[in-house]
Amino acid sequence: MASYISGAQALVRALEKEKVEVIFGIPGGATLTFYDALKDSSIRHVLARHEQSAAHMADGYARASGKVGVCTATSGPGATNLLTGIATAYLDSSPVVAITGQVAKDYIGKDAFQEIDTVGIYTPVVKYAFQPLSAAEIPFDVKAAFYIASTGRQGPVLIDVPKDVQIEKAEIDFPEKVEIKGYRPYISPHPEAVREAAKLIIQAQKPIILVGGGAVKSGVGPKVVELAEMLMIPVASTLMGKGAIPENHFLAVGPIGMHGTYHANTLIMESDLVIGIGVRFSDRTTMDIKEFSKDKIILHFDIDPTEARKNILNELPVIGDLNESVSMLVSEIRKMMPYTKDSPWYKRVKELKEYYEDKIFGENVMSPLVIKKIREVLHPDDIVTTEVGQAQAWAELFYKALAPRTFITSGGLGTMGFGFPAAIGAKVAKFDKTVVDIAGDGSFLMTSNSLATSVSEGIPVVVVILNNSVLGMIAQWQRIVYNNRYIASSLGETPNFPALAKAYGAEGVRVNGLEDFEKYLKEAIKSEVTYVIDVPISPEENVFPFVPAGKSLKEMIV
Amino acid sequence: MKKERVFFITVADKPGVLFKITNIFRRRNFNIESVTVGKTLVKGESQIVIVINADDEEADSFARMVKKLIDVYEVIEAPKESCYAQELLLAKLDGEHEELEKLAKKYGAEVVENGSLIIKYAGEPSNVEMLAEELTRFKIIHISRTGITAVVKEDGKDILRFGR
Repeated sequence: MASYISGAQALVRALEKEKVEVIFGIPGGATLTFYDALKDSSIRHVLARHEQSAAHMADGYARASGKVGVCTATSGPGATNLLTGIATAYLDSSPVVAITGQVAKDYIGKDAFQEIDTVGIYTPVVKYAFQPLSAAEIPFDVKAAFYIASTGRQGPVLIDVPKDVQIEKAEIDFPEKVEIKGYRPYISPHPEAVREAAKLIIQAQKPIILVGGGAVKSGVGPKVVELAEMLMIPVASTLMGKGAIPENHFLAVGPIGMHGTYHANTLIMESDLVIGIGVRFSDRTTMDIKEFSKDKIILHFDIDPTEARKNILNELPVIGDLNESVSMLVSEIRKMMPYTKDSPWYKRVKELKEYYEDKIFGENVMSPLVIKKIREVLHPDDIVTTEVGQAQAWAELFYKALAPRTFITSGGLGTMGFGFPAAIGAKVAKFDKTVVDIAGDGSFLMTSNSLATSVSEGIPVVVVILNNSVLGMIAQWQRIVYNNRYIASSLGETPNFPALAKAYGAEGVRVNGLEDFEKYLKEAIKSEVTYVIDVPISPEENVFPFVPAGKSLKEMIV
Repeated sequence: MKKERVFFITVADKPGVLFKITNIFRRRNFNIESVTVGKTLVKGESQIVIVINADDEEADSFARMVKKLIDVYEVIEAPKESCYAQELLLAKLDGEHEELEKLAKKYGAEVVENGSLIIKYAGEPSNVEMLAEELTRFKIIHISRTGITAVVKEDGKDILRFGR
């Protein structure tokens, strides 16, 4: 049924048809018409204070809910500010639809006011970029954008809408379905490849499962647990895979990588076969990839054909829907002989896990205790987001994610400033859950103006700042790798964070010691207002284990 | 082993598609030796033929990355020796007509006269290379080469096919 409406009205109606509940953004000259149409809609708008934060909010919303997150910015600087957030979503395969305004068609490419080649600069960091050149194209583009963002290997999609296209009126039809030639997101795994994988697993003596972000997004966790329990083999994760299976499971060994757990890194290096599920064997996960893949068989289950043999040439890829491929794998292995509980490998796993699971390396360290306390206080399905750097690595090591989508971090791009706006987005998605951003003082300063959004929109989250007055990870590298030659890592006089929070109308407190922290964390959760808890820690605290760049996972510094 | 590879890429015939494809090669710092684009028999589709120098793994990885682009319908990758490849050369010259005729005869090229003196040659890329070299003894006003286009040989080896 066609209706005679403007492009902007068509855009809003198309978003409504996709059941969009909320848009994170900032208006500008090239999106005024879109916002005008949005006024007549029930879609909630959350006003960010910087476009990068708007994108992180949409991303946090998407990661917490599994739904598509939507953000918007105007042309030119709006679009370039938004870009970091979209690149963050791209690297972590998060389904986000970004709507940018563009100057009128006749001005495109002529360096008009606030004009930039948005499609050109976004193309390498989105799954697809649309630029409707007539109002009538908008419904198709929106439907296709949501379809592309949310299927296959998920990721962000851009819709760049010229101003005159928003204004233009036309008879507009809304398609119920879109077909996109050249896009077939659903891939069924090859049964022969699964059988071959099953055979190799049965023959292996020391297999280990490695789950990644794909395992979180696909919800394949329960099947992974079934596989692990059947074989009695350990399950490690990547940073992005945290929460794919509950990290308190008796076979879970935590994350591997530059800041993986001692036992997970040791076990994966001792293993003779790795079952990678929804991972991409990134450099921060495998570290020295030659050492990592030496003398072992690598099986690689993933939805994305381009991931096959991308980082490890002699792996056996099984490309297809993870729920399907892991189910097939489980039933194939069931037909064969499973492991017994008393295998030497299981004993080794148990021994290492028991010894290292609660071990904290280093002297007088506060941060791991703070993180463990957060875990103790939060419910299993509450949500933690992280900034990037030491705070992130401590959270990776010491926060046990017990459910999928409860540990949200910028793994691929490593974007400082991600955690706080992502927490706001996650809170919008899961308003009945507590959301805590585990932050460093350096990262928090990058997007702390989101306090304004958090307060004025009534989206209370808790920010825990591990405050060491340094760019902690930089300082750690300068201390260990660059022989104590510190430069530009000291933050000097950092702001009075509780006062900063209060200036925005939020609550803030500086705590003294762990008990004090616990008291205020509980109070912050109960208060249901935005709360910044400033936790002083020593600038000398290191995150251990630490595998320096270029080294193998065996070469952990503790 | 590094060698010349031909990618036959069937794509949506619309703006921006060539940019996305060449950007994949650019990101990994590969120089594109040649690129030609032409319509196929199907409305709304065109075919891009790209030649790069790459080893087996690189070629495989590129083929899959290119296929992943939503506007790409099919990618066929073949080593150049598995293809029948041709290139077209046009050169506008100043010089002795007779001497040019002699050269043209040697290559089986054609001399066109339409106010200007033009030599036209389509053939093996290596022959095009040699002819271009020989043309330097004339005064060349303008020379244009298409870059190669090709079809895969019936008995061609090591051919990768993605899509459709």
